[in-house]
Amino acid sequence: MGRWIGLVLPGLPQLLRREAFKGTSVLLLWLGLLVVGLTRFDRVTAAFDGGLHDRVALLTLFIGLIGAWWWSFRDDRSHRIGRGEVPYGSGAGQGVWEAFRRNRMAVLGLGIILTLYLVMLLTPFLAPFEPELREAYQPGGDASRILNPPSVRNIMGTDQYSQDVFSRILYGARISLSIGLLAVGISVTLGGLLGAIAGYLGGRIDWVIMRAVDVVMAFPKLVLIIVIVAVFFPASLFVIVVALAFTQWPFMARMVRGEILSLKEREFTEAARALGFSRRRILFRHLLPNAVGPLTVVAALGIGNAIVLEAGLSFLGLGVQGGHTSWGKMVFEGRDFLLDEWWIATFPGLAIVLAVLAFNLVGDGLRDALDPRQGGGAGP
Amino acid sequence: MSLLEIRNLRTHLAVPGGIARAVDGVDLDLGEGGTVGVVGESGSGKTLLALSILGLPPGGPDQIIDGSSIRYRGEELVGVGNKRLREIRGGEIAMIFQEPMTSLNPVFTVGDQVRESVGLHTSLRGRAGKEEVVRLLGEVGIPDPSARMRDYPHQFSGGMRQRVMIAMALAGKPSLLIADEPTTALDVTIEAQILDLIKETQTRLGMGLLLISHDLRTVSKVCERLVVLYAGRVVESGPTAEVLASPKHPYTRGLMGSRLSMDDRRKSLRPIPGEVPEATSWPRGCRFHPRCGEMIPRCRTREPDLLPLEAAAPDSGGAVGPTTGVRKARCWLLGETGGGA
Ligand SMILES: Nc1ncnc2c1ncn2[C@@H]1O[C@H](COP(=O)(O)OP(=O)(O)O)[C@@H](O)[C@H]1O
Ligand SMILES: [Mg+2]
Repeated sequence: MGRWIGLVLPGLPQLLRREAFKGTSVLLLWLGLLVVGLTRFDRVTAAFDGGLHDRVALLTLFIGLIGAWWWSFRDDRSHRIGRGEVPYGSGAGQGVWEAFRRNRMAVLGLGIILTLYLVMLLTPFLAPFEPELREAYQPGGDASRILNPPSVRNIMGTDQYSQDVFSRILYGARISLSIGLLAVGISVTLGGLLGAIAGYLGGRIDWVIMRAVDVVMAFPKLVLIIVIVAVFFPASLFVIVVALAFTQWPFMARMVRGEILSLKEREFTEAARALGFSRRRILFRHLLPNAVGPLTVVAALGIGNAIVLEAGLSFLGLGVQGGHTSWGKMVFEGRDFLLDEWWIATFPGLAIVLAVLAFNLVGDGLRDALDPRQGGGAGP
Repeated sequence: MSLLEIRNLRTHLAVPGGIARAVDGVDLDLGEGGTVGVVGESGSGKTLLALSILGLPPGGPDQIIDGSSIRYRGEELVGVGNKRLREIRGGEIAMIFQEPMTSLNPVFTVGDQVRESVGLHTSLRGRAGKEEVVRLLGEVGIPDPSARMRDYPHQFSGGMRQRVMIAMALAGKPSLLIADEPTTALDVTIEAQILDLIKETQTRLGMGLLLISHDLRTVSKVCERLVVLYAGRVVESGPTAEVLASPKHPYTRGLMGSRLSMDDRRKSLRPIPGEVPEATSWPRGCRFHPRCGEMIPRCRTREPDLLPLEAAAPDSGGAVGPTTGVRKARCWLLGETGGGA
């Protein structure tokens, strides 16, 4: 009893400790994965020989199942070890995390994001139908499958090609969610780097970088993206990601520059210089890590922004061409049916709203948590 | 050969109001293993003096004016390349700062920060590096160093953080430690502990120490010699005991006055009225004359030189070095030749 209880059921030790939130989340995650694995057992076994997406889903499933156990056990053990001593994992980020956790909406947003990405990874096991399965058009197909309203069989109905809307939303998540992530990843790297250099070196380099920032920011984002995408039409996923990143890096650069400007006046910068550290090392090893907090805020808000922009682009018919669908494209395809067959455009639209809302909640939550005036921050 | 020999150091900053002549012709000598205290009110140029020694004035080394000389063990540091300066910083001359609360990087553990310093200046890596960190933290009086090295700065008190800063400074086994107001931000009880630690470490490692403070009492507890700085210039220097026993410059007397109790002050010495002027516009004549209670007409027009008080016999310096035992002051009241011969 006691020590090994974490191995019985993930989340149980936490529940026994009356940490209901931790316990139920882990338990629900584990049970959910188990149910998916068992109910779609045939797909899971077939995935061993499947394509990349199948294998990724398989890996996710296994890592999730084992990970929940492992985490539960580790958490329980460190709780035992740490009892009455220095709090476990107390670090610079600890105060921020505590403040973030107190913000229910932010935690909800984080939960939604994690669920969305988990669902995205597990899509092959979750989707009841193939995204491009047009049952009405199969040999001997059933023509009545077209434009079905939501039912038990097609919980979000079918579209004009008799495709299952729910399955398409699941598969569409792949493009919508990864585009945001990739675009922000690139813009954070590029903008962060340029902003850091501008702020730290100052002078002429700063001037040049910041004028470039001003120029890019002077254009409406959507216009800029449309121009880039139109030049490279038909745009691949890569072009769209780059176009999105191009419109976002100035915001990252501006933010990081401001952070570095104030950080380099802090005494630890001077102390580092007095101890003989090189300028490059001070900037990248000492200053930039201090800007990570604010950067994640901008990044979270930026992902939401990128998802909306991608949807707008797809809605204009300029989105990713060929291959799988995205949420924006689904809204685009359903626009003619909005009044009578509302489900075709509404559900993917709701998916966009949900994802963007979640990222904004997390972004706002992080910002508040990092704000020392609101009791968060890494202060004493 | 002396450890540090500063001659005519001038560090001028371009500021919106003109040129701030914040350090303006400072001479300073420090022998191997010696201790010198630099005192002066806030704004007198102490921090800039310290930063200049490391080639780190705020706008870059160009702010150190030609003709300045800073010799470290005979090696001229003014105009030396950045690579050599970086070796010197931390490796030969280390510096600790006033604000222990902000001198450590908030996002890294204390151990990581000391370790980075160890990694930069020694060849100790991996396990040996970690052991060195534990040793250093233990040496500066951090209890249970192998556990506390995993903590972040915000989990440390101000005094403990200053100890960590000292550990970081000691990592490179420097021969000279510059401590810029190391205890100003600390409680009185902690101040005494940190001063003891600095003094004890300095003696044990045989380091030279340049201790900077606005508080005469602080430096006089630790240092053999005093250098009193006012308006970017040395106004008085000499062995601590002698300066305290008979301060020659009215400014030094004023500094002593500001540390006495109200009762004593009324009886004998008054605190100095006014404050240090802007470094962009030092007063003509003696820079202290607008605040000086003992001003004579000449103070307004001509600035006195920093002169030896007694004409010391040429060979009397001997083992203590050329200027170590000498008392100097910059005041017309001491006569044309500084009151000496
Ligand atoms: N970064 C800076 N920019 C402009 N002026 C400065 C800067 N640092 C110091 N000064 C000026 O130089 C003078 C001396 O400053 P400082 O060396 O900090 O004095 P102290 O350490 O004795 O208080 C002051 O007049 C101050 O205003
Ligand atoms: Mg100072």
